[in-house]
Amino acid sequence: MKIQNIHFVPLICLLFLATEARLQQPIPNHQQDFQPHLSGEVYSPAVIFSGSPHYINAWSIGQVILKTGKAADSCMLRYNGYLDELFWLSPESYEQVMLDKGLIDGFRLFDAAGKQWIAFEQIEISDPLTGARKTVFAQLLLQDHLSLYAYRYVRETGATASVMQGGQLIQRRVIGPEYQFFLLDENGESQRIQMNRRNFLQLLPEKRQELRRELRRNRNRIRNEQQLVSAVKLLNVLYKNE
Amino acid sequence: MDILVNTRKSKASKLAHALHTAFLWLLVAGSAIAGSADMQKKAAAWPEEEVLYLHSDRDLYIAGEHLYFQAYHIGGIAKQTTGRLIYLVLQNQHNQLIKKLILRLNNNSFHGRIYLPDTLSTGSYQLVTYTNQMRRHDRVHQKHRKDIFIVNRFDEKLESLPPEPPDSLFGPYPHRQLHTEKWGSPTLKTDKDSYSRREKVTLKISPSPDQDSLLQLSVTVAHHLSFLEQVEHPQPKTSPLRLTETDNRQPIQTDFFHENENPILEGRVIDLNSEAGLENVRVILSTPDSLLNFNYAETGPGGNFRLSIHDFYLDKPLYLSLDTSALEAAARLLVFDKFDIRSNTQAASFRFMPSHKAFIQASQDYVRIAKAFEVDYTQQTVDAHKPIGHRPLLFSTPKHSVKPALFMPLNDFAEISRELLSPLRLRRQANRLQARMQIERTAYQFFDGPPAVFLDAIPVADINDIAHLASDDIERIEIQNFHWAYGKIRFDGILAVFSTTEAYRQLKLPDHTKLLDAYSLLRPAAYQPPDYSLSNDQLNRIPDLRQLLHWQANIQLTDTETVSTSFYTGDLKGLYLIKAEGVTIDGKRVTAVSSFIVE
Repeated sequence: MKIQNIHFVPLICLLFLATEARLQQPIPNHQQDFQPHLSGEVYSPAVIFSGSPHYINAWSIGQVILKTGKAADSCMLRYNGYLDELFWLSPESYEQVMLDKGLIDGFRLFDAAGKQWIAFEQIEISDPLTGARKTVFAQLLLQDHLSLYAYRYVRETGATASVMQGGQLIQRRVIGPEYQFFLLDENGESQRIQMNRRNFLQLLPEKRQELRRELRRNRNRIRNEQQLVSAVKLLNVLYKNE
Repeated sequence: MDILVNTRKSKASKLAHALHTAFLWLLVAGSAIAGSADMQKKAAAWPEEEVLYLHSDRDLYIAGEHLYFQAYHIGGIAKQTTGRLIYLVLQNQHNQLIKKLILRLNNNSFHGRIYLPDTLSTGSYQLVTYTNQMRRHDRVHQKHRKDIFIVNRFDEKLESLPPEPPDSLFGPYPHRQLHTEKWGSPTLKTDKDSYSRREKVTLKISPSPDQDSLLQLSVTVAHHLSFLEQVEHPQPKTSPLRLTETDNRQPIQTDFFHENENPILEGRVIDLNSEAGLENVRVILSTPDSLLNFNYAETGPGGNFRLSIHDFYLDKPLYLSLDTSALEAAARLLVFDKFDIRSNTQAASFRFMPSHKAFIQASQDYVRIAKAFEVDYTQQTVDAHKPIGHRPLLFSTPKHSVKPALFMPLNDFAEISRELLSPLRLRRQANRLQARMQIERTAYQFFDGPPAVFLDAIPVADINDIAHLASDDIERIEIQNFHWAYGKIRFDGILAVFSTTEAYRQLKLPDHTKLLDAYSLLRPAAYQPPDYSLSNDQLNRIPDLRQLLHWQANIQLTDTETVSTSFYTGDLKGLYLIKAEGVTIDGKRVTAVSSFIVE
């Protein structure tokens, strides 16, 4: 009987140690509880196009970085490339809220398909049509002295598509994605770049030959985004050595 | 055979049992020893309990002077406590709070100054410091306090001083006896034992051979009578430090969490009748401003709420109100005062020497002269915290913005609305104005509910409260006629009026609204005595009646390096003490004293 009881002693000791460990656990930092509130218009854009206006069609978990320096985490977000607006799905009412762009610095979305986080920031670009400066959300592809951004906008293609709605065949304008790429220097000055080698070589005229040589050595013909990112990395190396 | 097998089995089972028990014991003992060794190691490196140390430049002050101090924070969960907030109060012998300050630590410490108002009466005072989390323990340890004695500048009789001065502590010029050789104390060495007036003093601070970790020090050099011996300290080692509700002074139940970077405003919303805490009530924070700032918090179980005071809200009056749209019962808003420490400790008694009376009377004159010459040796130092410039706004750009001054003068807000604010519809019903806002998206429909109205960014419960405002009173009107979301709150349009005459001051605030004093954070400051190496005629013309020759906080003393510092003596003769107080990173307190004479 005594031998059997002896088993309880280590158990009690373990329990005591567990309690000690629990007591020494850090006190929860309630600073994390102060999530900033998101602000915007309760608005659901009407479906009048054929095609998706969103960069990622489904709602993605994400983070909104506000101009106050605070970040709102674990929000359901969707970037509308047609309107260039960020939408938040309110968890209580399931309303779509078009967030006030003027209060946002950027946002991050979790791309479930690519299993990666993608970051968008507000950058100032020149409107190709009017030349006026405008602020848009652009995806940060590379952050360096010269940062690379992709403006993932959606525009009307000019085509129309016939769709059935309410038993009637109606015509809808087709929209599709179109990307523009921008280089941003340390002063925040943006410059649009094309996805071709000739245009790219003009970015650093003084080191054009060197850049061409490096691109050839890396067999980089700047035909896709991945190659563009690699090319901008090379550009940054030459830019730093300038 | 079976019996033999059974016996063998039984023996094997017993052996296995014993081995099993022994293994368990070894496991438990091993983990306990390992755990305890680990804990000891941890404790030696960084104390588990949060501790604050407070050093000041002197013990005896004249009202109207500045008190220089350094606070150190050691221990706790987070080793790096940059940005941690600590509270500092100056209280008199009747436990009345004279000064209430919030400090933001940088590298576990803060150095600054406190102005001691002219009106302070002669007597003992206490500096008490604590963090929000320390209030969890419901006490302030002895070392979080610093007792000082303040003499009123106009107190000529000095009746508050003890009538029978006991024996002298130091005697005349016993400076050789003052060199301390305690464990871990650094060595303080001046280049000479005596100096003439306005002569440069070089002080070397060398680490003790016992010192095994980084020592953070503050060094003060002041007239020896500026330091007092504490003869008795009757209060217990701990004293209550309860958080109370401002209004009914009842102890409250709350979490005592860390405060980093920004102070946290805490409070409770209760049912006016039953006094039970109301859950899910929104408490709105705003401050008068030219832009529509807005923030809110929701009450949790028990009716408690917390709001982080953003940098923008510091140094501004704070308006707290309740979102009545989601309120079902008559409610009362209570705000917890973190400075209401209800300390009932008795002030310390000091031992004064016979020469103290003359010293104090002379000091009173010196302070008067310093004020006449507007002498201030304080230098504001750079705050490590970079405030964020952007305000917490409800919207960035309004859809409609109108400046009534650009139009014909109009007599009241109803007229302004009718003539200038097309999206706003004001109807008079039973002699009261009712407002509705046109929906921007449809341009022909109106929202069901009234818009949210703000005057100088302060929520207005009823639009009739601003009905009297004429064109001259209004600088700008902003309209956001969208169904607007801010967190969980929804607005059927927003009307923000910004006045030219601070009209918000005339607003009749609802009973549940509270106007709070500004939260201010003390800026770090250093003592910068005159430098006579510079040929400055103006400096030479000003009498140098400093009793505090040098105060340097934030000295980092490693176990190998010697730190050198220099300063100039003033015009006052006497024995000056050099006192170094510090704390090692593992929480060991260190004090060293030395002296020199100015002839």
